[in-house]
Amino acid sequence: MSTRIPLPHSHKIIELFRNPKNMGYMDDASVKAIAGSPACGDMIAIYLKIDDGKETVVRASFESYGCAANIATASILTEMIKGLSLEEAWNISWKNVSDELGGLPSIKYHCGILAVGALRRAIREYYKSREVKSKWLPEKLTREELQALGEERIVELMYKRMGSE
Amino acid sequence: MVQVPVDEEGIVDLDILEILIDKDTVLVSIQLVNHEIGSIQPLREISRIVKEINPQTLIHTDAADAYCRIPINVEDLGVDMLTLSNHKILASKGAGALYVRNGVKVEKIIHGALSTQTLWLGVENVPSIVGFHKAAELVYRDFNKQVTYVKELRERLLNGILDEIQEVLVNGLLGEKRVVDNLNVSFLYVEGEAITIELSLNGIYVSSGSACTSRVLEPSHALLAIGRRHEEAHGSILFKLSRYHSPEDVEYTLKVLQESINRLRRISSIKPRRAKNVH
Repeated sequence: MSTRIPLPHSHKIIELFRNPKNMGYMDDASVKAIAGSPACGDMIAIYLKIDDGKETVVRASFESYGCAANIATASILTEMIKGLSLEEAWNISWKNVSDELGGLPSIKYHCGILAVGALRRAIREYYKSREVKSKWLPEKLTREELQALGEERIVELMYKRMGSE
Repeated sequence: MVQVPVDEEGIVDLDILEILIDKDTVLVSIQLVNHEIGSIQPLREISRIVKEINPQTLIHTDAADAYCRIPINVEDLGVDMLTLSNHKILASKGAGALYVRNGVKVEKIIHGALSTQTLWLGVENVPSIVGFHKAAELVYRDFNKQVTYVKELRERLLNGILDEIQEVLVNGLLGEKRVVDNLNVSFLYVEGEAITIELSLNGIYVSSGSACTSRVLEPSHALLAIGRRHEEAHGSILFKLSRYHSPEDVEYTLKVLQESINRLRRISSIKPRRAKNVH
């Protein structure tokens, strides 16, 4: 597989785009979260199977409507969090994800942010659904969660404007 | 400056154009063929409307995507100025042409030491201009044959996509009002840049109107102008065909395209409505 067009993506991004790991809907997921929207052209769904007693990620999978970097980012994140405690998974930043991929091109940083935003939404949702308050979970939304929210709101606003014209 | 809207097929709304032209209108500029969706504008009709209301209004057309694809006659089209571009006819980049009707005065916008005689600031890009001439010559020695050939390839690609891939939208017109080498299709539930990368890894080079490829949040304005929703524009792919493509190239493209769309739809977090109905 090769292309004559120079792509700004690392070898690892292309490899994971071609052969993503942990791809697909999870039937027995403990929790699911989505970040982004079809109108943004970026939408990641994260599924987590969680060991309730240990509060660890047993399995993780994803679905992605998005570009090659988006697919690769979601895929590597589900690999990185496998076996981690929820707190450890929460503390993974978009920069960690980018480094693991051999560096996201700057125009694709938002893919990493969106994937981490989706993961944090899932973890937040998990605690909320169990009505358990975690000691380490911040009450305020983090930058990654806010970024996902911002992207969704901008598109919502654009649609409203289009409708009102 | 005002913009004239287009209908859902990408054709300029002539009724609105008529309302917008008045005694103060200096210039009307309309693309003869849209480079994204291939719509051929009714330029002769547009010129007639404009000149009837204000004979002083100048008419310019960007014919870059029309040249070597449809017959062009400046008298027949009723235009005062027309632009062409080298790279749009399979020549190298770096040259263009401007037709200016006798009697129309055009002032240069960039001034420089060498630009006392011509509209262009610097020295001419001679190799590019020679290539431009040669490329046009190669088309016009058997224009009709080439146009028919390219159209047949495009029709096979279009029909193949419609037959073999579900949930697609053809952007722009079908038939005679679409330029022969252009096909623009939205593949629902997948994002266009992912398709372009997948295809390029298989030696097929296409472009997309997705926001990712333009590096801004908004997808193609041309697709939004014809009423496509953002998610439909994000999944759009522009195919361009030429006399250098073969029927085998089209069959190969169809095969790879079908596999790519199926694969990316399996990954997608948006599932086809049809699949939801089954469950």
